[in-house]
Amino acid sequence: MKVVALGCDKSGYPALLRWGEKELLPFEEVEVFSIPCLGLVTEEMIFQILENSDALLLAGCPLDSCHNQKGSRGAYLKTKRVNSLLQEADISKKVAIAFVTSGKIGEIEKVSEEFIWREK
Amino acid sequence: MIIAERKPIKEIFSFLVPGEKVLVLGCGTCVTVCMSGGEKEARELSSLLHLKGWEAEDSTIERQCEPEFNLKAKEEITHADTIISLACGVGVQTLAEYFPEKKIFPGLNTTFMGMPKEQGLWEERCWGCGNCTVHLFGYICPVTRCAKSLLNGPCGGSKSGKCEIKPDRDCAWQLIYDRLKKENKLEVLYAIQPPRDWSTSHYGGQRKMIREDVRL
Repeated sequence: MKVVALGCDKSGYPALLRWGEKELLPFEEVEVFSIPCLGLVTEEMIFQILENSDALLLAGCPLDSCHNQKGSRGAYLKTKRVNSLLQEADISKKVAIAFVTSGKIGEIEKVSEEFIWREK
Repeated sequence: MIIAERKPIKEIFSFLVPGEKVLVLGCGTCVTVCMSGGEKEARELSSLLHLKGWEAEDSTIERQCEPEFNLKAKEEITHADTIISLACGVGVQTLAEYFPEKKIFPGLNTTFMGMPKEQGLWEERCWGCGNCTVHLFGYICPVTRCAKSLLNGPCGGSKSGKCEIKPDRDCAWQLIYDRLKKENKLEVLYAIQPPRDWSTSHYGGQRKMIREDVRL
């Protein structure tokens, strides 16, 4: 399973790096990228990424303490919308979002488990 | 503006034959504003078609209801086997009239003429009955907004300001009363409205407007 992970450089990216350091990655291939804020992610960008991967994992600041205030909230709504379109179209790809801090990566692990469950 | 909503994705897929080239054609006016058929939605649908294995492209023109704009997209339209139009019913028909050799399918269901009430909520405001008298009703159209289209209301069935037919909607006549009261114009309600001449509405078949002063 090929997964692309985008993390905001305030919280998500450091958390993704910590997750990677644990060397317990459950996927064949994970590409991790840093972006300034998840608010920059658009539906169009998500679809483009999904054309060459099985899943997209977004990691950003917690909803109530987003560094840019509404970045995580905007990304959450877009994620929800894209997932509902994918589901309606019977496309098994998925995008998930984890709200994390650089020290708390539990939600990334939870979300990644969900990807594996879906693949089964 | 004209409000429309996207057809279920599977219905759209059912129009298409595997392997054909598909053009998703968005419209840059009303359906862009009601977020159902603009550039963004055209891109999304084209991406979904890609993921399902179709060779899909997207393009958005300013107004599909005007032939001149459709003709600007002639090259892309000619290149595609099938076009999914994300315009209102007017746009789809205009496109089909000017490109009769093409397979064209509607990607939206046109629903009504209305206004955006809040983010993600649109409400019907006009039926296009051809004989506007909203000024007599506190600028609230009873033809459109009263479930019974009563011109001499209220019906007596509303409860707590809500319609008895659709309890989640405001009673139009309550709104009319409230507005006229606020403006100290309640005496307007004593006027009995005569039966309406509906010949200007759509019941008489297709309507046509001719303006000799602007014809060439």
